[in-house]
Amino acid sequence: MFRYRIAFRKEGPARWIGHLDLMRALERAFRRAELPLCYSEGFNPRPRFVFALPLPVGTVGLRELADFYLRVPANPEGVKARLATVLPEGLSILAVKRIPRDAPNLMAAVGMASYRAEGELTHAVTAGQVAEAVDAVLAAKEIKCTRNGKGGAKEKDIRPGIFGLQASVTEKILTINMRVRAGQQGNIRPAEVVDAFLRLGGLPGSPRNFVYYHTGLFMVTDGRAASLG
Amino acid sequence: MLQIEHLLQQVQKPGRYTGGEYNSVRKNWDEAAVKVAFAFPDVYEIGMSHLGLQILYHTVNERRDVLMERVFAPWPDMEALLRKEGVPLFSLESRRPVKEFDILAFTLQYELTYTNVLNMMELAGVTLLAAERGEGEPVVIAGGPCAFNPEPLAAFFDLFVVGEGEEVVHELLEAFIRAKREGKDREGFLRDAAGIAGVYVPGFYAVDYFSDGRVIGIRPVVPGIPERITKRVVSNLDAAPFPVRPIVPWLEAVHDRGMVEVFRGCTRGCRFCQAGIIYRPVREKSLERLLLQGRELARNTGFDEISLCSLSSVDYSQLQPLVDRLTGALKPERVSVSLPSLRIDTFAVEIAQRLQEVRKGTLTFAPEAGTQRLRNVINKDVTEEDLLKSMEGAFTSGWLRVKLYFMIGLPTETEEDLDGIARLAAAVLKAGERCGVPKGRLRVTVSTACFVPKAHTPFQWEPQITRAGLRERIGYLRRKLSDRRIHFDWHDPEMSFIEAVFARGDRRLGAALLSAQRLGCRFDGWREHFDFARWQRALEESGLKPEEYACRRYRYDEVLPWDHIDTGVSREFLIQEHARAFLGEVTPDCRREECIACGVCPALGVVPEIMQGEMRVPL
Repeated sequence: MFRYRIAFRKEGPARWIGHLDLMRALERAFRRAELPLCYSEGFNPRPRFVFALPLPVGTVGLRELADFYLRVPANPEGVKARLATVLPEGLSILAVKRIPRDAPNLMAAVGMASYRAEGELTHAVTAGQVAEAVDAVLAAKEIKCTRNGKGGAKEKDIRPGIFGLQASVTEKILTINMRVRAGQQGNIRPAEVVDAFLRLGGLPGSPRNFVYYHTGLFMVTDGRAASLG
Repeated sequence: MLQIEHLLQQVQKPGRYTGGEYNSVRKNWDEAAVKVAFAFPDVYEIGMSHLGLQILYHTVNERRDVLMERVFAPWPDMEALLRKEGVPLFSLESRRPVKEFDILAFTLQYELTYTNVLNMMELAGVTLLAAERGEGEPVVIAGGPCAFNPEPLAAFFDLFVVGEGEEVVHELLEAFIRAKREGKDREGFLRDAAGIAGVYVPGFYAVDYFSDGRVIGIRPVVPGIPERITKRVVSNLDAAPFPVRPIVPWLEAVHDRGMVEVFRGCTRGCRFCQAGIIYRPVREKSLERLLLQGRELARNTGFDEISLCSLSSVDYSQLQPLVDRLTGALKPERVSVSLPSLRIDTFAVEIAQRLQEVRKGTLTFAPEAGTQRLRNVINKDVTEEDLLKSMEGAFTSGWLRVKLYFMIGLPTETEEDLDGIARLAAAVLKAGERCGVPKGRLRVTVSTACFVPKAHTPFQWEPQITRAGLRERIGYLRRKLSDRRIHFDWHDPEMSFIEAVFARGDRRLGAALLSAQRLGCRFDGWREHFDFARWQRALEESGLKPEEYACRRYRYDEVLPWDHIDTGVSREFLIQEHARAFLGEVTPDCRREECIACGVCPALGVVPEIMQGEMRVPL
């Protein structure tokens, strides 16, 4: 088994497929590229992909990370070049590197993610209003948000998961940069933050009219963040 | 290009509408002389499993002068958004409004998609009635099995293509290009098209009715067009274009695998089966061609499964070498080979064993009827002994689950035949026990469909039994199949009733279809969307009696609404088969025994193509 880490973009039409469909699309791309993946054991063998962070459907991934294993060693540049010719529209490879077999699990390493949200408000607002909205979110003791899961609607406080927030506006176009909790300790969804931002700041708009970009992944140790990959 | 991102944000499975899949074809819009939208009137995951779509998509897109893009029925959540936001139905590839295409081509696979057809036209902003359609609008055409009784849809289509599309689609495109160059209007093009073999322009024919609604006759009303439209067949399937670079869907399709068509046609001769008539004769592809196509398909798609598709793939004359060699070639790539349907015999089970060395899913068989008597009536050449022997083979080699398909409401069916279904299911359970299937894991699914008389079959004259009768039979079977290891599911009698109405319907039903669409009928083939009360209202509004179509015995001496469509199979043969059914006489398969004189070969000037063994000369 030879372990590799891949960095890729998920945008355009590919932005709209879910995590399982993404895994299937990659598995098929590897087969088209004639790169022999290692599979799990058992009744229904699946390729051993480990994704750093499954993205919500619709979110653009600017640098997604995943680990995979090959049955034969291959030159990372060669892997990248072969995959490049067989990917569907919207998936592209940024980098491939060999990593040690015993490197820490990718998914477990993730503690924080950064996102950018860009969207149009119903009417123009001032930079001052936007700055107040940032303060309102950061000053809040708790921010309740409702999530619809398998067991019905659940209330959740997302405030402790918001680590950083910046925003700017040009007329009606609002840009929000955020750093939020991600990974096995729980995920904060960027749309939830935008919703809170608009609500607490009293700004006219809907999280639905925003495009979300996943911009980075971080490992958090002793309160300090380091970029992954 | 339409902006649809804000819509995608709000719907389930947005991947249904994005396009951009691997192997999809995006051409320069302005460079194409003709733009065709291929419309599949059901949801993406169903449509992307359809081999016909892939065949035509690639055949047409091979041409430099034409582009073909796809459009599927939007799911109700997307439909509501399109209507609310005033966004017209768009194609997947270039996200253009469907109305901007020159030709809008529907495939008609199932009667219960007809309201989706109308609904898609409406969402596209295309005039529903062909007679009222303007010069700037697309020419709206259709093909597929339901085009063999196109009459209920006659008012909505400019033309139908009857039979296999690979060749005629090019003739049609040439005619379109020529008509455009010569500055002809819609009518002018349709006149040219009506001269192409296999093309039916319903507007050029008139139907006369008796006062009781039966058809007096169907006659051409413009000069120089044929009285009957004969279906098209591809004579050399081995040389026909086949998509070895099919589109790989974004979402998990119903059949999420690569498809190799092994042969076309099936001459087993089940008397209820329309596919068995309309795809005649049998034409096999060569072993070498299939191996090549299977390997290329796997390499070009990355699918982990390649399926050998045909109406009855196990009948392929060189199945064993095909399976052995293809499995051998694909196994190192972790690609498996599968057969979609199995014949009931031990040979089939042996083949299945070779295919499924690791995963033992459900094995599916279709005895269709519960007693030998009724199986003889429908010409299903299977004995109970065959069935049980194959089951034993399956259980012994590790299968735990078996699915059995039956039909209820078949002509001459009695209580005894229903008892036979229960008895067979019990015998299969016993076989499982005997073969040592672990207790608690043995499972038999019994699935029943309601008999729907279909045009062009020996049973086309037969009535469907009433909905009450069907419900009663289902209730009876539910009580009989009470063993907890048996799972019983059944087709909805109301849905089968509407299917039967349209399967044997005439032009007058167009009005009912319009009402149904207006009342909100959609996705009628989906139990959760099918609304019988709405359908009853629609049929009432049209003033027609649906039972007259579904539950009436049609007479030999009456003109059938589809009599002007010619499958090549003779009426005499259908009558003879119908008579033999009631005598319980079995008719053999012409690929194994001698020609049974169904008439298709001489009528169409073709012969069956069997790759191995003695070729039999048709009468």
